Amino acid sequence: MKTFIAHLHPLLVHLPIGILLVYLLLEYLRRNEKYKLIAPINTILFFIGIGTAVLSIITGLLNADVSTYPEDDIFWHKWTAITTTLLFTLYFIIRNRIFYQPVYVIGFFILLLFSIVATGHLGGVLTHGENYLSFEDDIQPEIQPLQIKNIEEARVYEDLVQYIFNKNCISCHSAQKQKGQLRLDTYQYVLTGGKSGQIIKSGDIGHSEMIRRILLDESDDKHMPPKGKLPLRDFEVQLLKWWVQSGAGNQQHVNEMGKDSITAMAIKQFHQVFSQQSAPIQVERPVLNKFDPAIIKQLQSIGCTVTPLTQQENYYRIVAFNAKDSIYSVMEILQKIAAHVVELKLSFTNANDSSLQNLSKFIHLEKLWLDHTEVGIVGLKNISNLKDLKYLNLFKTNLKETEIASIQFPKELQLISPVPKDTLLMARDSVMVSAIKQ
Amino acid sequence: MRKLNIHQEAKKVSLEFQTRRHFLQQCRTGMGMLALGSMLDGCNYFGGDKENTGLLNANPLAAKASPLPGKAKSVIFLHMAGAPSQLEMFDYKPALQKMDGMDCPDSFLQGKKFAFIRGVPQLLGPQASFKQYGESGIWLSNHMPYFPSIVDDVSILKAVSTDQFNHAPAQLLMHCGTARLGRPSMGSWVTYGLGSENSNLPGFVVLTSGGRNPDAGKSVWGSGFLPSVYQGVQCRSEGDPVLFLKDPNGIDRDMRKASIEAINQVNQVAYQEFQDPEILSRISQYEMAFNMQIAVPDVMNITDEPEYIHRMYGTAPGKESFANNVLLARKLVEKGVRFVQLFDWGWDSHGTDPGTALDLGFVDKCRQNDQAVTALLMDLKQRGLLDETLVVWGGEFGRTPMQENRDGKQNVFKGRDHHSDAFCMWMAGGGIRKGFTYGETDEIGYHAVNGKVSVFDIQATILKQLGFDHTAFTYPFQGRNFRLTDVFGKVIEPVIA
Repeated sequence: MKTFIAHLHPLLVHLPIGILLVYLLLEYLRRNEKYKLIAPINTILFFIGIGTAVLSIITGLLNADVSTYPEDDIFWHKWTAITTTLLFTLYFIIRNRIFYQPVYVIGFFILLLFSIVATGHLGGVLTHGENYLSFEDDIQPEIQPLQIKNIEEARVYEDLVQYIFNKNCISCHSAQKQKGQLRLDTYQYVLTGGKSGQIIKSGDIGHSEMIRRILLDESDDKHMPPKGKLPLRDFEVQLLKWWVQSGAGNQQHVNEMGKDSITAMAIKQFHQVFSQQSAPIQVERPVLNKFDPAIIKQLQSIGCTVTPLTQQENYYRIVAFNAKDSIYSVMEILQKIAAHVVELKLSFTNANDSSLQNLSKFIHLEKLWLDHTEVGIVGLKNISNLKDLKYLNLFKTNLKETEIASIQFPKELQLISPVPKDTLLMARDSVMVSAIKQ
Repeated sequence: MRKLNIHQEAKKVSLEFQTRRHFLQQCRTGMGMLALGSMLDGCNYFGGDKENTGLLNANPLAAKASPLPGKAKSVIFLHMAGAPSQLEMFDYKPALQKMDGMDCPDSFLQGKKFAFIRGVPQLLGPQASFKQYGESGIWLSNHMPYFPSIVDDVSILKAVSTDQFNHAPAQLLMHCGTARLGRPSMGSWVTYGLGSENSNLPGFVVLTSGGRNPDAGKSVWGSGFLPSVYQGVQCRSEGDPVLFLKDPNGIDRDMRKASIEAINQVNQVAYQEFQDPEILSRISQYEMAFNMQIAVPDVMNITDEPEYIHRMYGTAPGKESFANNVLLARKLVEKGVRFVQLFDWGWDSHGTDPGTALDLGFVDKCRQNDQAVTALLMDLKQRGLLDETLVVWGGEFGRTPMQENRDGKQNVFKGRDHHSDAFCMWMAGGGIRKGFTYGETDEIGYHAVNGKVSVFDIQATILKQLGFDHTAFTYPFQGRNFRLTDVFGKVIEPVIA
């Protein structure tokens, strides 16, 4: 019951804020002769406002008792609220009973306005956090890539555990915000724990509150990190378990601590995943105008499949399997829309050097399939102008390695070489040797 | 108003049931709403995706853009019907070895239903030896000697769960998103959404390795309520690849062409008159069938593959086998087929006879499977196709850590019962992370401990890689929008590169 009443606080607080603000406004207007008649209404308004303010304070005090907000933050909110209520009462008494002088009234207005806004803001900071009301657009904290070359020499706490805390936890558990009175931004704070005591019992994952919370079912309210926050990956959980299990120290290096195979793999995964900055692969292409849809009809009529790459852009993937014998006409038509072609699949067709003579017009071409065709070195030379080309398939063409090497390809081109690798290697034996010895 | 006597009032009431004026008066709101409804395009007005109705497109199999950028263009789904034992292939449980022969603890049995296990079964240790392989250090059993060479290209899901423990419903769940009949299969959804890049071949091909068809029957590649154009075309690796495709005796190709043209002209006239888009799809079907007469036998012929390919896959032309089908799958994908569905059989290792014994028949299955599957991934890779082809491998559920005791008696051979709580599947290519394992089971491989994924999650992930948001990819049927994943499913982000 107590909790229920306490939790009414966030609901109730809006009443005195709104009512007392209206009261202030009307009080200001009342100075004008025209609005003199407001006076009795305003008195009613004042009593409702103060009544709800008192109720808010009572529920607020209860809420401070049952909630987990840090004592320091509550302190200011509590006292500004009480002061505001007292100031309003004071104003009411002075205004109506004792004396009335416009200068004082204006000064009082500003004071009251300020104190009511301050109280509300402090309350808001408690529930929504300090950065909620900010002029900056919401920016997801960037995950810095790990700067560790050799993971075996990394420090377990500093480089691994704290890295995970920084990434997943400190948005709620740090100097800015201490949900559950817990901070995880330094080792000392981690050991200190939070509202429900210590969160780590070194060497005992079964009795470590932090591990227990992490392992709870995702649907559980107490699960950490909570819903909507960046979840921990399995290997991260494994690392945290391992760190607690092996003493939760802050001195050891990875290679000084014993580990089982699962942990070893988790460490490896951790290193792999976070060392590389994952650059989003977002291709920026200029906006192109639409072209005559009859061209697409034409291409389709000779057997080409024309697929828009996305539903919005005017870029296309052309597949010519069924235009096998009419590649010449395909290329003739395609020339007209060359800038729109991003992927071109000429596999299994009779494409040859002369089919590719106008290839340099395809300035946005990113993927080109020439596998199982008669294309030779003369045709291939037209490719060197294609700056965006990322993938070139030459499988089962008659090109020689030396010929291919003579061509300057764009950087980072994925080249599928014409000669099938000797896959007979399927070499069971060599694979077996490479197996990691347990 | 003039007061009516009782007679007049009765007459008025009876007239109210008959007159036009009264009728119009009474139903103006209803009529108005009906008119408004049709003007607002029915329930589709709010958020309905008009482009997704499929039928409006003249050729239902025309290639379409995916709603989101997708990494994969085609899918090869290798289904090991019968459910292979994860404990002898991917999920290494040394603790289970130590507990071999012990009675299964009660906590694992309470409230559980098994297909065959009765009473208290005994735990059965892994019937294989395991080692870590590759850069990624993934555990693999000795039954898969080839797999290590591609293990760094796959993502293994170690804690897949389903809620069905019988073959047919579990297979339906895996492919159609529900354990009951009547829903479209994944391949149908995908061809419906993306069309086909090769108009001479079906967009969705199904290959079975001979022997038995999957328990769930042809429904696992059916089109459900989607237009039947999208249903899987079963191709046989022996005899005619597609039944009834060959010209009948005495009719040559020109004659066939002439007759199809005549039929299509009639259809065209009918279309002019009725404007029914289904007629257009019928026309395109006739044309495709005609083209397929040449294209299908060509692509389904593996005899002209070079010798090294045959050795690599372990194929023997002219027979029905899993290896042949795997090679065919590669050929089909290479030619632009959107979804290839393979069903292998004989994985139901109960241990009732040598063929289903974990130390006998199962080992043979693993070996056959291993070589072909490894060859497939290597071959796709060397052809530069693996980036655009998503390969998925798995059964419909897993197998118990306990030895099966059918009707309370220990089976003669070593075998395991059906297990739905945790099993392994893997994915490769098509933008899937390389050399990665996701999920973990408890010490004996009974429950998922973390990284638990459901069958719906797998479906959601496959759709995601093809460029669909599985929650938005719908088809209206019987008054509501249907999804492959129904109301479930979460994309398995960790396995996406």
